[in-house]
Amino acid sequence: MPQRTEKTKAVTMAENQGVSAFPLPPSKYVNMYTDENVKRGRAPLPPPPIQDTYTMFGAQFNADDAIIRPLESQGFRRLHPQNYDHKRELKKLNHSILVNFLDLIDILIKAPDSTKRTEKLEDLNLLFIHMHHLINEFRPHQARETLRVMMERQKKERAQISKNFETHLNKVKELIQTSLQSLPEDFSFDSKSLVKTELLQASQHHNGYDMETEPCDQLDRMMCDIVDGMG
Amino acid sequence: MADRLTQLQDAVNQLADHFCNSIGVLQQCSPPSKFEGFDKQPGKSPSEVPQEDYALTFAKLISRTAKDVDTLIDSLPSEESSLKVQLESLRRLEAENQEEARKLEEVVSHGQHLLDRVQEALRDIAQCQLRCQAMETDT
Repeated sequence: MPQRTEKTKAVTMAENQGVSAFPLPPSKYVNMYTDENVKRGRAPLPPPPIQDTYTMFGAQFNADDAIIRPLESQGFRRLHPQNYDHKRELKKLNHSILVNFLDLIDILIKAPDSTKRTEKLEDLNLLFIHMHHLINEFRPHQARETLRVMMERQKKERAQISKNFETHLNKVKELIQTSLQSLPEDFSFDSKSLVKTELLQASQHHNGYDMETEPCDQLDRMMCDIVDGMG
Repeated sequence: MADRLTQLQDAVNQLADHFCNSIGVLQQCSPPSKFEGFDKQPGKSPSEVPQEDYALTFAKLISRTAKDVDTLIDSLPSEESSLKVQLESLRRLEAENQEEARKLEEVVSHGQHLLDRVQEALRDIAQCQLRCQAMETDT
């Protein structure tokens, strides 16, 4: 597992230096998860998923927003129409960015301290944000494509495995059948072993009678047979 | 190599970086421009600063990055395989996958069944052998 190898590398490096690389585990929680607590069911449950807003590192997050693709009009001015083609808009944005950069250089040459500079910087900012937003809108599509490709591969693998298994199965069946056919069909025993088979049948009847009276485990039955045979 | 979207994002960020770097570098290492009709010390004009021509280099970099961005945008899939088509193919694939799983399970159960019978036969054979050996040692 890749996580494990990274962890062991860091741990061995830290051990060489004599100080732990990782913060200690929270002992109050860890001690509550002893083996007997888990067995008794008294270990604390995992925390429930968070429903509404929460803060992380000072930034606030909404748990029930459509985080995958929030609307642009939530923060900034929107530059592209309602029904747009992503690729065309992306290309227009790319060219606008270049043109705006040239304008910026012009302003810097001619009048570096004017308000036009800050306006131009704001324009560039907006254009870049648009560009990243449009790129992000491709991400769910990419996720679905990945899922589709994975499922197709899984389906092919399964078909392959079942086909291989079936060929093996048929081979095994053929093998058993050929070996059955090649068993010696002649029953020319000598008299000694014929007597033995009568003994064997008698003991089998005896065992069968026992088996009807008392249902016992098959393993035990086997063991009894072996012991009877040997003793 | 990262996927195309990540490459595109990186290229866009790189373009922004080039913008900032070019303006900064050109501003830092530019020779001071002379004032008109103010010739204070004409002999002190900047003597051939080894012009490494950052302007040209940066211009090339920026144009190349912008071209990369264009190419990457072109390589993105168009809107044809839209949401509905994708969801439909996902559903179909899921049904097919379940069908394949069922077939696989069936084949495996056949194999398991055969294995059980073979093991049973082996067990019987072993028992008979043991009994025969026992009877041989008896006599």
